[in-house]
Amino acid sequence: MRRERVPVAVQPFPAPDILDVPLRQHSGPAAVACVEVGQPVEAGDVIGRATSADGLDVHAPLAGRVAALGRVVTAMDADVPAVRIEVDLSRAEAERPAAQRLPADAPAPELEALVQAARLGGLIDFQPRAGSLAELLRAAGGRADHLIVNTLAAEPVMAADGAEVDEQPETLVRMAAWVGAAVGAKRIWLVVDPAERRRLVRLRKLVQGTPVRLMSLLNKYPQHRPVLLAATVVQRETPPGGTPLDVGVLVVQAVAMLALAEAWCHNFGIDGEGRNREEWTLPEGSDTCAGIARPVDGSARRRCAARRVVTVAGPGVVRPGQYWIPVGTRFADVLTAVGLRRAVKRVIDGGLLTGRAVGDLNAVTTQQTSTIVVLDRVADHVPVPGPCVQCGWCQEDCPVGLDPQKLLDLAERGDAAARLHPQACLECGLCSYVCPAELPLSAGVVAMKRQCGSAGEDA
Amino acid sequence: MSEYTGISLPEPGTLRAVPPPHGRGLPGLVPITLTFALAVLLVAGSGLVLFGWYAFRVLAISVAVSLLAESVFNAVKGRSPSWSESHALLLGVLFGCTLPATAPWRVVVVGALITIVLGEALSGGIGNYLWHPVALGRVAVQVLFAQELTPERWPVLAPGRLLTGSLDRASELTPLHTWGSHVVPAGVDAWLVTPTDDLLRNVLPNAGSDAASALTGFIRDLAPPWFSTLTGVAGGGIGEACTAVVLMAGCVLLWRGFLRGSMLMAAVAAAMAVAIVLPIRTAGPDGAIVSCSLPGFVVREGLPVGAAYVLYQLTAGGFPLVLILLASDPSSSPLTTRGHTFFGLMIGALTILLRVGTGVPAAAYWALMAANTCVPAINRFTRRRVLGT
Repeated sequence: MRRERVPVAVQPFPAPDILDVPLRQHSGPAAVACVEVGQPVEAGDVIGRATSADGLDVHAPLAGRVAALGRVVTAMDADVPAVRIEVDLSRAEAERPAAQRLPADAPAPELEALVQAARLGGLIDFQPRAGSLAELLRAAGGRADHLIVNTLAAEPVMAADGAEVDEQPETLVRMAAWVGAAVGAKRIWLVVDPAERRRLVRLRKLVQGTPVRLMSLLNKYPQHRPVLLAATVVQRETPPGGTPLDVGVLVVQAVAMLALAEAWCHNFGIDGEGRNREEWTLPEGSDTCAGIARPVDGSARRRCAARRVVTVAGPGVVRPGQYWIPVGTRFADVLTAVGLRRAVKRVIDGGLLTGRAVGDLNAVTTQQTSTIVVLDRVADHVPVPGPCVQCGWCQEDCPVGLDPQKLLDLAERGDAAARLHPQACLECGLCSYVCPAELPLSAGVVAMKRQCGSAGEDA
Repeated sequence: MSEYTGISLPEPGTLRAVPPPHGRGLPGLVPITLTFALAVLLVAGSGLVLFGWYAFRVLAISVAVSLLAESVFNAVKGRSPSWSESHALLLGVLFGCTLPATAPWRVVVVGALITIVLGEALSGGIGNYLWHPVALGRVAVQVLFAQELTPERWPVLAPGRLLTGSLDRASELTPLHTWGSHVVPAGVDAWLVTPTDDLLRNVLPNAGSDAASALTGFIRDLAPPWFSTLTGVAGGGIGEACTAVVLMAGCVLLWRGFLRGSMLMAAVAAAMAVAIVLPIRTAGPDGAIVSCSLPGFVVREGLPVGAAYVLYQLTAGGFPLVLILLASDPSSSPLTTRGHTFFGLMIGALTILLRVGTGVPAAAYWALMAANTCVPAINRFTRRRVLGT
């Protein structure tokens, strides 16, 4: 895996004939289908409506006809309602979406406008907690005095987000400046891995003259986590179990910024050249947004949140690379399109350290899917936990300074230990990874974390 | 079907939805056991070369008794642990390495029993013992069999007789000769030497009643060349003698992360500091005890004899073996690197203090046990701070 070179340029992906679009792609409640079987849909049409403030609308990625309403498996959910679309291949856009250029001379929009754009686009916040980007931005208004935009990948194989950044770096910088101004941040940071020299050099040129500051940060796992970015970039420590917003730091993924830029352009009347469209009105059921050109009713094409750059990699894949893959594509179709060189033993949605394996190739990609790793060999041994030798590697390597072997010991004895602060756990899995005795440390710490009353995965 | 290769998608039901991580290193305790086994075997090998058949006898008895003791203990307890949980082989070889090659068999048997039964089994097994079992066994036999373990001279195989010679055909080295410079007469396989540890813990003869003459006399007349302490021909325990090989074993452990470099440096620094500063007792020509302070700074006719004395302190006795192979044992050492640094400081300082201040033999092992006793407190005080607290 490490020796393989995955092409970095983003490539088009042949449109599949069936899309099973899941109605829940984040941690909030599922949307409710608002289309009927047999109904034709255009790319960008809403097919599922959010039912509450933390829900998200779901859009059709490609044009076609609704074939069925059923349930589907994703890497996140074993069973989630979904809309099956038979794609109209004659109109399916196999080429990549055009780059979005934000207008250079427009004033930075207000926070409410950006929140609306995120909500209309149905965008997730692309973070481990997988909440709604609109809610994140809304919560940040007035609370954040630092904005950190992250381009660091979670794992080296997950190059998809970086590839998207390389496609539209000017848009990223401009959107970072807009979001920073909108939430009232005093400083805006753009974090880049110095190992990506071309990206670093290009972004360094682009941020000159803008309020965005570049920070080059070695990507030592799990540096990409918001809690650790806040600690390293601005030296603010998040209280255990909290989010960086509690200490005034808003951390946003770069790909979320790009998705927001696309949502902004499509919903508020900016065309690919950065010019305002003619008079547009918002479709029914959407809120208005004072002072902004409104999109034309019915012809607004919200292609955001419908396609994502996905890295497909692995030793058995004939054509590894970065692809624009529509949400709802079955893994079977992905594997068929990229070709298999060897028999497949495991398909992982995500990276090797944090990704979840899929048991069924009818499982589909979601907005959160950024990497698909196909393994032809797995070390299929069942871990047999040995006695703890007190080597201390788990405590030494924990990014937040926990004592995992002690927490596992307490978990096994049924004791609670709030004074050891298990809520600070990032669920990065490093403790289990380094343990020479193969103890289930990560599971133990997470169990203590839940027991001591944490809300869920870290922000 | 893929159009290029004819490889088809896997059948339904063959893929498993398993949680991360996917792909790991060697499973189980094997990495620890193998790494320490390599390190210990290097050291035992050097002992076999230097001491021959006698060393093999000691090691074999030690290993056999250890394995037997562990099996009996497990049988009594009704457990049958896997290979990776068996610590006895490693501990047996390590215990044998701390003994002189001429140790009588009853010393080896008693020591191995104490190591395994008291030190490991009854203390809770891997991960739960407070003192390092080998250190416990070594100090126990030192107390019980003081006579057998502190002879005047210890034999080392002579040049040309390494590995194959027999230690009972030993002869004295004439005073002005070193191990390599004397022609080995027929019928002699080994030279009798005084280990540096014994020289340093006893009162040094002092012809001129000042520090410079005491140290010069020590270096010129009593002690072997310092290089001999590195190659092992200066004598000592089976695994203790050859410092160079112990350092190699240390490299293996450093590479795998069990030996923390900061502990090594802290121990050496502390040992050097104490050796430089701690006054040594010397016996003047009239028999009166003269105490020479700050021995590390002594210079005689431009030659830094004090610094040389400090170097001898560092390689003497069991100090390198204790530091590199015993102090790095995960179960009896602290958890964090900061803790390890303090642990190393304690070992280094206490070894020299005990050796020079009290003259006790096997000072390094006593120092290790004292440091082990403090490990729970060290762990409490060097626990990492959780982010955000």
